[in-house]
Amino acid sequence: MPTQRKYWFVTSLAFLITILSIYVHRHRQGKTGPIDNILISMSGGAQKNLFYLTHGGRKVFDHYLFLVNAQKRNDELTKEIDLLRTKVVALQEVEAENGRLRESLQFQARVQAKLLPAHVIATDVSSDYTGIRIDKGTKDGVQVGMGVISPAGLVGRVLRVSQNYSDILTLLDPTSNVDGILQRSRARGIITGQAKQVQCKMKYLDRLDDIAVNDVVVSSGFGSVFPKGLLIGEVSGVTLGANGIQQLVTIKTAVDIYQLEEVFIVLSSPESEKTS
Amino acid sequence: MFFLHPSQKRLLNSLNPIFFVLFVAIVLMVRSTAASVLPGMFLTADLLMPFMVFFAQRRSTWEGFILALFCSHLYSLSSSAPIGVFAFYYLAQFFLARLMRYGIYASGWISTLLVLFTLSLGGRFLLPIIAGFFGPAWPVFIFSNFPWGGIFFAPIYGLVIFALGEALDRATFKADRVNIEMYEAAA
Repeated sequence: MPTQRKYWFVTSLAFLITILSIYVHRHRQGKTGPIDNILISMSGGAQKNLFYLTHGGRKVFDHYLFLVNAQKRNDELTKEIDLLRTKVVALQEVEAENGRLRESLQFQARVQAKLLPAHVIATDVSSDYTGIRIDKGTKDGVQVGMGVISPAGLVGRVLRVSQNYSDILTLLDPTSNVDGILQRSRARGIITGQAKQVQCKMKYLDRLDDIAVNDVVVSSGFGSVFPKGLLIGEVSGVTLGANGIQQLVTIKTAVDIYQLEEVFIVLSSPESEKTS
Repeated sequence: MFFLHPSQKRLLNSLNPIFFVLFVAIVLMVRSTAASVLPGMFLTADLLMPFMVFFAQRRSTWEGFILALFCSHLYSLSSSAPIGVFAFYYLAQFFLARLMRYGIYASGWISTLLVLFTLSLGGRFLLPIIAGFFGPAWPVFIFSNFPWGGIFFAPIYGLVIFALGEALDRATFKADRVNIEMYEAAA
């Protein structure tokens, strides 16, 4: 090797070692220089954009797939919630029906009459008349004129019967007339419906009859249509008639006709059995 | 639908009255079973009256009469009123609407509304008279027996019934009798 070339080699090696030593020394504690900063800035910018691009793409891709799954899962859960909600409502309905039926059984045992349970299936199509339709008819032994009651009290009378269904004329109908007595004073009158009102009136009560608000009105048992002593309602108002001879009594019925679901048809009351 | 064979068109045409009876039955069924959720105006409105006006103004006398009789009887059966009260009441409305046709033909919405409102209000006077012939006279002429919400709602509801009735007529290729009569008269 010529001497000049030997010098170049040794000088270059020494320079390289020096540069590397300086480089190692400068970066020994994680410090960066201006060139490093420029390089990092340039590469970092590119990396950043690329990262966002790839990450964004991945995110979109992942989220799209994820959302599809989420939507699917959401639909499934919504269906499940709806199903459970329906079941809860159905169970609540069963619970309520159980309660009513239990009450009905106790009622049947309490009332000394042969009763036929029925469901209310429709109300009157006309607002001028107050009737209901039940799901029992002639094939169940229902006849025109039979009394209809509920655990809450007196409902009305059978007006019309077909083979499977019957129409009931309720207490609230102005064409309905039911014989009743005041439980406290034993004053007797006829209870009839009023025009488009949810209250009845009690007719033919003498001005000397002892009547007070909140007095309980019960069935008299006359005519053998209803069992005696069945709750009809309470007196809600008493006024003296225009002629001064009779008292005008309004009665709030114990039964809410518009909320009725189950009723009982009085097939035979103890009074009718006694008569027969 | 518009490319049916003439025999199919005739079949649809002949089924038109049955569709109307079914339409009335649906209205009555909704009224009697969904009373707890329906608004008060709908409950007190005269539900069958618009049908009577429709039959009176869009049908021949006999066809309209038979339809009116059938539908009013259906109504009568769904009510606790003595059977016949509503049958006669609605037949009377049918004939009144038929008479009114010579003065006001329910063609546009204003004339239809006028006829419907007249009968909606007039019905409250007519019903007590007819009910009087059937035992205990109920309803009676008292102020509380005028459900104003229902009286004003019935004509509006009637417009919908008219629109649906006309649509049903078009769907079943039912020719407008009045136009035929006018055409025949002109000829």
